[in-house]
Amino acid sequence: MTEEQKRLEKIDQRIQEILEEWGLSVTSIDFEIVPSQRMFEIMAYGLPVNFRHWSRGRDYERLRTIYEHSGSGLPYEMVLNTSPPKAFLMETNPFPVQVLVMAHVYAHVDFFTQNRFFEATPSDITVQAYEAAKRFDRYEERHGLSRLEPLCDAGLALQYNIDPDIHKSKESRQEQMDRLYGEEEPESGAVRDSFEELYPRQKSERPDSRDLVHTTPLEPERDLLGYIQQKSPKPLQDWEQDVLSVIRNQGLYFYPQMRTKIMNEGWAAFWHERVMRRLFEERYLTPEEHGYYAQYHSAVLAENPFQLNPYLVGKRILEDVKKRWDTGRYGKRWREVEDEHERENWDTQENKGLDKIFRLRTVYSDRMLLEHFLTDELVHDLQLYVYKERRSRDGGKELVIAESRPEVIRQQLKELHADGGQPRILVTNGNFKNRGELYLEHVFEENPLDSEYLQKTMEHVHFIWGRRVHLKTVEVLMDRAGRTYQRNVLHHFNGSTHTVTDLDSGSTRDSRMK
Amino acid sequence: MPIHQRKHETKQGPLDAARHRAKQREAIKRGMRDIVADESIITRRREEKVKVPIRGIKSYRFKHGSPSGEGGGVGQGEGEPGDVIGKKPGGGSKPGQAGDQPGEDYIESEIELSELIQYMLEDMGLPNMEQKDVAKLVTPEGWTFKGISRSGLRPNIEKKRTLEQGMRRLVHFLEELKRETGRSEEECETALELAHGDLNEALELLRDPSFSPETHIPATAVIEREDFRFRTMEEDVEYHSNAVVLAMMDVSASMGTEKKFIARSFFFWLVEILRHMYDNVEIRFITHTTEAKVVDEYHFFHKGESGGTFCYTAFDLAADLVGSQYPPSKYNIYPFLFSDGDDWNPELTVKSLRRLLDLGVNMVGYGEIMERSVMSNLMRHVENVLALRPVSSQHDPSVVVSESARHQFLAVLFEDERRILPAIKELLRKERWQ
Repeated sequence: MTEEQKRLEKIDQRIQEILEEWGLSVTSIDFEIVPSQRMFEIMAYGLPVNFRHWSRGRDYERLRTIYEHSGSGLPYEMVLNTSPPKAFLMETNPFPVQVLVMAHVYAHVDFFTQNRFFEATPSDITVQAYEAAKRFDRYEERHGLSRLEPLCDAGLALQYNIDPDIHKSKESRQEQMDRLYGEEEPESGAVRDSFEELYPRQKSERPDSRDLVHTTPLEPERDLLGYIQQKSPKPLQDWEQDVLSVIRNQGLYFYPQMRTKIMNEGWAAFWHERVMRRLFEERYLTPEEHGYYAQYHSAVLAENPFQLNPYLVGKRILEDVKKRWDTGRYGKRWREVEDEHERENWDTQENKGLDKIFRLRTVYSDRMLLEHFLTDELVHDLQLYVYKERRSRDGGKELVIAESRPEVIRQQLKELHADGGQPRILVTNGNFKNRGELYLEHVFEENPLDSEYLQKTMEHVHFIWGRRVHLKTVEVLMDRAGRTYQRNVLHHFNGSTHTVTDLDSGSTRDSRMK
Repeated sequence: MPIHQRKHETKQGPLDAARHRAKQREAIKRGMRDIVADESIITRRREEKVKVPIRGIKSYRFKHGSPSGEGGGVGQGEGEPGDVIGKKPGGGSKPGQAGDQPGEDYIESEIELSELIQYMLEDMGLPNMEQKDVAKLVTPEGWTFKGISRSGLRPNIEKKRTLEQGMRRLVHFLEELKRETGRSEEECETALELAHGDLNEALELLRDPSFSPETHIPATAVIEREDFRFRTMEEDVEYHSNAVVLAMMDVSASMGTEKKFIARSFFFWLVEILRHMYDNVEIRFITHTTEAKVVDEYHFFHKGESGGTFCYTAFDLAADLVGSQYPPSKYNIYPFLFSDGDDWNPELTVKSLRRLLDLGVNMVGYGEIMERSVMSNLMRHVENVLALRPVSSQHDPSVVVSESARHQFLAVLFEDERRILPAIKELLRKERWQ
């Protein structure tokens, strides 16, 4: 073991003590120092070993290119929510950056173990993926890449069209019927983030049981991938089922991380900053090393003109919450303070800030955090805006700031971060027209679906389902005066052509993309 | 807890990256038409890699769009509503550089120009250009020794080869002597040398029990009549793989920026492809208005001019170059004129064209960028005089190709930059070269 590694182990020990003292749940982590190429591989595949796919190769190459072109790059880290947790440190990180990453990773692991959305995550995902990779290689050998690849393409396209809370609600068809049409309200143990709040289930009259036999699914199904994998009229062979179920399981593993990205990165940045300050104070790190640390730390927290930096925004929201709950700037009393001077100096010395953010860490997702704690003041301080793309005079496109009103920005962010940023697509009928056709519905809020992506993804669905696929959604169009208006439309794909029916007028047209 | 470092093999990443690159190449091939019409390629510096924007290797999923069908999002930084925070280059032929805008789905890939051209050649079904046997010329260069023969004139003895034969014979003789007499190598050598290379004489010497030489005489090569090798004389020829393209372009006022771009783009690709087909391809650039002049490559591709139009001046200058610098016996010659067909003296132009054809050039090409699908006066004139007949293009029906039955002449008419690639393909069609 090198001197540097010995020193790192000593500091590792100290980081754990500090975080424990502050009340975080410290789990020992298996750290591995890896060369950059290996790091990019792990990042591209999401796991140390995973099944092969060209898109991973693309991502691997992209990471590598960015790294090589920018010279240094950010302190890349990767942490796996496994038991025990495993984290990778990039070989080329300077020593103080390695320390920063370690502190950061401990906070992530605290988040994984404490946040409620991670309760159902399987702990052996790395082993599952390793085994799957071997099986997929065999499938490729036996059935050919030409059959495996489009299946993986289709599965990956729908990887997050799943129900992330499904572990909790494995009920039989009978149980589901009882719940939907029975007398008793079942115990609802399932954690429902945004979806259930936004679309509460309504009890309906129990239809004739003969009708029910042919009704599939019994209620709108959010787990599109799971549904078509199990119910595909093709039908799928065992190996095809396996491929899709591996992809779906990995979707379930990654989904909680997607829906808590801002929370989790904010939490980790919040704590790594404090830990580092302490380590410098205690002389575990030298004043010379402070320069490196400061440089990387500010790079991590840099503003991004085109998207939210989760490290920065998450950390700032948590800091704001801490300050407000420390000084009592919340609740009815605070809202009623009108005097400008009084507001500025308001401090009830409640010091409930840490308790509050620990609470958020346990029960919140990004959407909830943004909705409840991204205040008007924060939107202003963080200089957030909504931008749009438009034609520029030279024939290209330009990105223009369109909005800076906090309520508009909050609304936009809420939608972007509900369900991990995925549009909600429900399976409403798996036996449409009694011909085994698949009927999907997009739950429209504000933003329409991207039409190119919509068509290509429908093709992927069709590949698995094997019969005609329909998707109901809302189109938002613009009239000559630049005003937007909406049309209810139904997209169809029959395996070769796309058509779309305007449900408001009833007309159908060809909708081939250029 | 352990901090460890293991030796790792990075394997799956590079393997899948190769798969992705294969998909990219497919996308490039499919998008070739647009790539060829990309102005930034021909205006780049020679040593730069060509940046080819490739769409189509996205990972599709259901995702949100915006009402206008265009992108957007939430960002952070200074600025008021209405401020421009980023730019994206326009599509098509507009030059532009990728800005620092978001767009994970827009993958810009870099490939070498030569790779791009390789795809074009494959696509056109042109032979593997490594062989470069498309157009070899043979030129006599006097006489030279070319081969080895067993008979010949004494002054032409090939000493080295003859000596080799002698050494081979010596070794063979020594083996024979040792086997026959059981004497040592040294004794055999001495005997053979004393017998002046005569095998029978040496045998006799060695069979005499009294033969016991005190000194060892090392043997030398034994050269007999059939060991002589002679050089043969042959006529000396040189195999040439030379081509010269005489790129002519009308730069008069009627050739607007768009048309000039099409012409330049066409020449750019033609030249690059020919560079792959020949060991040695020279390109001479000629621009003309009412007068023709030889210009350099940069000038040709970058500078605009204006004025009136006499196309014959370009053909005349080309003929002069052929006469003075590029004998058709040593060069494959391809004069090409690009014009919009606007010519002040078509009669003279046709005359000059015939003169050029009579010099024995490989093929004269004429490219016309039509306006509103109307064939020019010049083209009609040429059609009559050279008795052109239209051939339907295999690659694109909107490219009109006319061939002359009697002359090495080809005309290509087209309307916009999307026809550049089909026109080049038509021009370079395999059959035309056989």
